[in-house]
This record gives sequence, structure tokens and C-alpha cells, in this order.
Amino acid sequence: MLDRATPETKEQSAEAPRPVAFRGAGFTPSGSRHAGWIGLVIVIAVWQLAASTGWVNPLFLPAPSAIAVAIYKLAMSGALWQHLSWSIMRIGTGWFIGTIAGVVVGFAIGLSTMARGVGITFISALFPIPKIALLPLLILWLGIGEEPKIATIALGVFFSTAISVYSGVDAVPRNLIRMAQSFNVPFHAIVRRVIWPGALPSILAGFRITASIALLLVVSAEMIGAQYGIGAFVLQAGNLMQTDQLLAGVVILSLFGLAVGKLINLLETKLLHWR
Amino acid sequence: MDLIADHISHSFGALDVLDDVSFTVGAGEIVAIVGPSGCGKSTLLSILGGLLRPAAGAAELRGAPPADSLNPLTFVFQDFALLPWNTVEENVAFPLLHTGLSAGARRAVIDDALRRTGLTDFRATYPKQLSGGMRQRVGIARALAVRPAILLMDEPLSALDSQTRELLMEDFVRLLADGAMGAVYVTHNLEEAVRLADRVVVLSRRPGRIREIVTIPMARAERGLSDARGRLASLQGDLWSLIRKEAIDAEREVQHA
Amino acid sequence: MKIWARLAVAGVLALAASGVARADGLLKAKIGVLRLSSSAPVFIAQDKGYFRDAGLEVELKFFDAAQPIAVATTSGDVDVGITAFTAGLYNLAGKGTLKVIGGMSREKAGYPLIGYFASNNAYAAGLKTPKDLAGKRVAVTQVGSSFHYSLGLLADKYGFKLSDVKVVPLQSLSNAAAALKGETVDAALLPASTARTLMDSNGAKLLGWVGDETPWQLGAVFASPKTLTNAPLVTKLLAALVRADREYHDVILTSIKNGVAPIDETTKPLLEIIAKYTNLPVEHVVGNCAYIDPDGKLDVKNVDNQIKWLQEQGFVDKGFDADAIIAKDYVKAD
Repeated sequence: MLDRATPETKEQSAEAPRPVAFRGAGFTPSGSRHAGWIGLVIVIAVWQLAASTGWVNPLFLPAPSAIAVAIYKLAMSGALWQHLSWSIMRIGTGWFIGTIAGVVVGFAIGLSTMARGVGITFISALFPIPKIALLPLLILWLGIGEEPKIATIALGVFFSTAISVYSGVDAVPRNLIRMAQSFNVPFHAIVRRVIWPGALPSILAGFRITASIALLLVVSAEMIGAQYGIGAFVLQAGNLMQTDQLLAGVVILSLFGLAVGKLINLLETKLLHWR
Repeated sequence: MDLIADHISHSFGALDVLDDVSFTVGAGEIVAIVGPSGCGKSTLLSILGGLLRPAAGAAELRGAPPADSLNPLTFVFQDFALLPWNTVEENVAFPLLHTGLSAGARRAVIDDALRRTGLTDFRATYPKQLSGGMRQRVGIARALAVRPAILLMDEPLSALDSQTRELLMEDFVRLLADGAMGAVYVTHNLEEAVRLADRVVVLSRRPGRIREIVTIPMARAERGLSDARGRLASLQGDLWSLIRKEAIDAEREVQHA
Repeated sequence: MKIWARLAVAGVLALAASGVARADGLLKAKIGVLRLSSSAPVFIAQDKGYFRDAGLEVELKFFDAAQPIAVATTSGDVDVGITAFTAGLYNLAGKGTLKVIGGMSREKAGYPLIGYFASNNAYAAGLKTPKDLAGKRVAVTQVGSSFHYSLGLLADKYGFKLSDVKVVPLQSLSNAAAALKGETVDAALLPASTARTLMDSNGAKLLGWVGDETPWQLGAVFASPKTLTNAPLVTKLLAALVRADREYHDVILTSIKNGVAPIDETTKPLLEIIAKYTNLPVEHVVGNCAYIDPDGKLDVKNVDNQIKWLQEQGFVDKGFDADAIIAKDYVKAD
């Protein structure tokens, strides 16, 4: 049989106990809900103060109020919506085409030995080419309509997507694939039910990057004879040295980027709830 | 249906892991494979289950599998191999989706497998939310759902703590008690081997050769009784004396490598 | 030991160098320019030592676009900028951060700089003269650029509306050339240097030169208000430039026949200087000589017209005219 022991208490000893010093502090940064916004507000306030007291030349750094006025005027004239809708069309179409192609090629590279050999070589060779350097060629091939603009964005999105998809496919645990094979699950079902969901986290992380790439490239794309578009607007403001307009365009682009980021967050919580 | 290891040899590059391994698992029989670490136990199981092509020899079947078996050779994995994006129920359903079973029949099979493993209340849970023991129960339920003739169990308890191991071992004994299913049970734990197996295949250190095949001279049903403890412990001791020297040599070798 | 010795030597040298600078009494100035022949007098003045003669030690800073020169002048990275008028430059000047202090290149009949070029298909379909550009798709680099303004002048001259022309801004000369060659625009305004390769490969047809159709003041010398407070520097710099203007005019410009300067004993030394600074062979320089007034005069009336036009188009902020951006103490009007 087991004997029962009585728990000791500190009163049983004459010597006074001293606490063990806590030494586990720090190294656990946690996100604060409001800190980011407070920081942003302070930066804008200081910026506004610097501009309105004349510390900085408004030409070099227009005041936030001037940028707000520029955006307001743009919105009131209706031009903002025209610029936005053109850009959204280009970004959306380019991103969609680039993503579809990237996912297909990424899966091919992740699943087929031959595609891997050819694909990785091509991607490594072509990915680092600045798309902007190809603009004259794109114009020669595709003219100056919407095609080269969409192609610029699609190209940028394609490479990044293909890379994140095939590394996502590579990262699917092999033991899950072996498990599926051990149950005689057919190839297409393994791709659909094991590899696709397994690669999805890295594909969605890729989307986050490619969405930014698409936003970056809309400025390059709209170099090609665009009359409307946020990128064209930013370019024109830069050409004309209208720095308040320039920053207004930049603010709109970054707001757009924030919105897309939120959208991807939503998508992640919806699709990756199991994590 | 018998499962036959016919002169199986295998190597990974220059590293020979299995050397001329032959034995037969009869219908309803439980064969444990033990041996020092790195002796190729898991490799042997992969070959037996058709997941790995041996360098020489072959894994063979003799006799027809039970008529209602959907997957005669079914694995239970050490790391459970559950799909983290699927619920318990979906994980159990996974191997059934491509078997041509009607939705109703599938539903009945799943319910039965979940009931036999005590998972009925957890069907909508995700693997991440479960303890290790419960996760392995999902792995077992998934295996049961396809009505295997022979379970290929690759160290199914070694990722679990000792208390959970004890509980799951009781489940295995119960599930395998009726002799409808045979099993190949790979383990480095001799206690599990003597508790569960009809015969124990003892492999030498790498490259794994058959050192001995011993029969546990005691009916499986008797081993759960309290007066069987002593005999099981002495059987375990006999097994240990067989592989102790191999284990020491293997350990030295691993440390050198 | 060695290190100390080296340091000592370096220190003595540095002292000596600063002593030299002081002894010379040269005023230092940085000039921002493009490597284009439209800045020829700057290269001549630098190469032949006219700046030094005037008591200046000039450092040339080379840029690859007009806009950055205007910005660098505003920010004080260069003391004086020399480049073409652009809407961006006017917007900077309109805020009082830049003043024009002298004239530079001009579009003038007989001196080819910017040309109107048609694509082969458009040419075959009847686009034969600049006047036919009405209603066509025309590539320019940027809205509000020299090319855009030139097109505006052409519209005024032939009485068509600029809005009838589909202006396609392609941001760079290479993009515009590619669009023309690829037949995706009907025409483009390009500088002679860019058009040369296109013409050589039969990729486009020349319709005419801007200088022949609508002469205007293309480029200028400008400075920030801070530079203007240093009157001796500005005066000396302009004097040296005018000396080079005069020489360039008398030697090169007067010898030009059919838009091309002859290569002979008198012109060769200057042409070689221009070739050196523009990184072009002499043979390419001779057909691409910008007209520059021998006295460095500025066509103030035209500058005012440019500002008004750009303001009407909405490219330049309203509320100022040429008078507001010209340093009257220095500028000699036509």
C-alpha cells in the first residue's frame, strides 16, 4: 500500500523565508491595439506642426492638411473615382491573371520533376529582371492599350506567386502525402485535399506580397500612356512637381494597400481557421 | 490473407538498412518487430505496406482479403498523420471518399469507427485541439473505417506520454481481441511487444537481419490478468537479453556517425 | 611611425590645397546640366577655362533628366541649373524657389532639335506634314513637357484644338520610340538624338522640326534665391557663359547649312568639346546643334506664353506670370 505524507508549511521552520527573485522579465513583446494608431496620430501632428510653423518648405514636404485638401478636391471633382476604378481594374485583372498562372506553374513545379527542372531555371533567370526595363518591349509586343499595363502587373505577380506556391507545395508534410497514398487515395484527390490545403498558408502569405507588388507595379504600368489611374496621377503630379498631389496619390495608394491587407486577413481567418 | 516478407533487403545510398528479411504474418496474427534504433524497422514496415520499393526481395500477399475490406493493408502512423485542416469526422471520412461507398454507408462506417474509439463527442473538433492520445485514437478510427485485414502500426505509441500509452494499449488489446484483424507492430518498447504480439521478430543492428523470431507462449486474452504480470516481465527480460548487446553496439555506432 | 608620417604629409597637403584655393580667390560654383548639346556653351566655357578666367571654380554635375536639375537647384545641391523649361520647373519657380537668370537653347528655324515623327503606317495612310497631326494619336514623354507644349503651339498655329489630338504620355523617350516603331501610335515628338536610330532602321518618318514650325525658348539658366544673393558669382558666371554663347554662335551656328554643321579647322575644336561632354561621336553632334542666342538673351514673351498655356491646361498653378520668376537684374530680354 502507499503511505500518505503530510504537506509541509513554512511555519514549521524558524528561519524566515525569502522570495526567489523574478528574473523572467522581457523578451515577450505583445501587440497593442492602440499603440499603432497613437504613433500615427503623433507623427501626423508633428508633421502638421512642422509644416504650419514653416520649419520645412511646403514644397519638400506638404502639410497633411494640404494633402487632405488635395484628396478632397480630387474626390469632389469626381476624378478620384475615375482614377481609382481604372487602377482597380488593372490591378485586379493583372493580379488575377498573374495569380492563376503562378498557381498553375507553382503546382506543376511542386509536383512534376520535369516542370521543376525547367520552371525553376526560368523563374530564377526571369524573376530578377526589373519589369520597368521591359516596358519598351511590352509596348512593341502589346501596344499601348490595356494589355501591356495588365501584363506588367501580371508578370510581377506571376513570378512571386509561382515561387510561393511551389515552396508551399514543398512544405506540405511528406507524411500526410504518404498517409493518403497508404489509403489508395487517387492523385487528383491528394492534390485537392492534401497538397492544396497544406500549401494554402504559404499561398496566402504569397498573396500578401503579390498584392503589394501589384500596387507597386500599377505606377510602372500606368507609365504606358495611361490617362487615368492612381499611378498615372502620381506620375503626372511628380512630373509637374505638384508635391501635395503627389503625396495625395501616395496616400490613396497606401490606403488601398491597407484595405487589401485587411481583405487578406479576412481571407486567412476564414480559410486557415484550423491553425 | 497472409502478408509475406520475402528476402527483403534495402539500402539508402551506401547505407544498408535491411538484409534479407523473411517472415510471414498469418491471418489475424499480431507480429511485433523489435530491434535497436536504426535497424530498419520502420523501413521494413513501409516496404510491407507498399510505400517503399525494396532494393531486393518483395512484400507479397497470399490468399484473398476479407470481402468487405476497403484497404487490406492499413497504416497507423507514429506522428498520427492527421489532416490539420479537417475535423475528426472529416479525417476519418478522408480514406472513404474515393471508395465508391454511398453517403449513407459512409456515415454508418464513420459513426461505428468513432464509437469504437470513443470519439463520438469529438467529431467536430480539430486535431490541434486534441491531446496526443486522442489524436492517435483518430488515427486508429480512420484505420478501422476502411476495415483492414492487417494493421501496419509504426511505433503508434512512441510519441505519447507513458500514461496515455497505457490507456491506448488497453484499446489496442480490446480492438484486436477478436482476431478479425492481424497486425504488424513496429516498436522499440519490449513491454508493448510482449503485451500485444503473438510472435516477435527481433532484428539485429543495422543492417537489420532477423536475429530471432520468438513466440510469446501465452494466450493474448490471459495477459491482462493480474497474475500474468510476472510472466510477462520475465518474457520481456528474455527479449531484452537477446537484443541488449545489439542495442549497445547500435548506440555506439549512432554516436560515432 | 609610418602612419604618423603619412598623416603628417596628408595634413600638410590639405593645408597647402586650402591655401591654394584661398590664394586663387576663386568662387566655387556647381552647375547642374544634361549631357546634351543644348548645353554646349557650358561645356565650352568649362573646357576652355572661361569660368576660371572669370574667377570661378565650376564643378559640373550631370543629370539624366530635366526635372531633377530643377529640384537640385531648389534644394541647393547645385548653385545653378541649366535645362529645358518644364511644367515642373514652372511650378517650382511659381513658389519662389527658382529664378530664371538667362536664356539657353531655342527652337529656331534651321536648327533641328525636336522633330515630329510619323509611324510608317500612319505615313502611308496620309500623315505627311505636321499639320496632319490633328485627330491622331501622338506619343510624348510626359504631360506638360517640352514635347507637349510644342504640340500645343502647333495646334495654335494650324488652328486645330489640342483636345482633338490624343496625347499619349509614355514617360520615357525609349517608350515613345518603341510605341512609334510598334505602330501603336500614329506619331511622336522626339529629340533628333533619339529619332536618329529610329530613322536609321527605317522605323519612322520625319514630318518636320519644331524649330521650323513654331520657334520658342526651350532652355534657360536658373538659380535659387540663395544663389542670387551672391551677386558677384552670378555676374561672373553669366559673363563666362555669354562669352561661350558668342563663340558657339559665331563658330558653329553661323556655319550650319541644312541643319548640319561642317567639320573644318574652325568648328572642329568646339565640336570635339561638345562630343566629349555629350559622349557622342562628332558626326552625331553636327546635325544636332541647338540654337543659342549669342548674347544669352531670353525670349521673355514666349516664357510668359508657356506659363499661360500650362496654366490653362491645369499643369501649372495659377497666379503668377513670367515677371514673377525672372531675375530682372540679370536677364536680357529679346
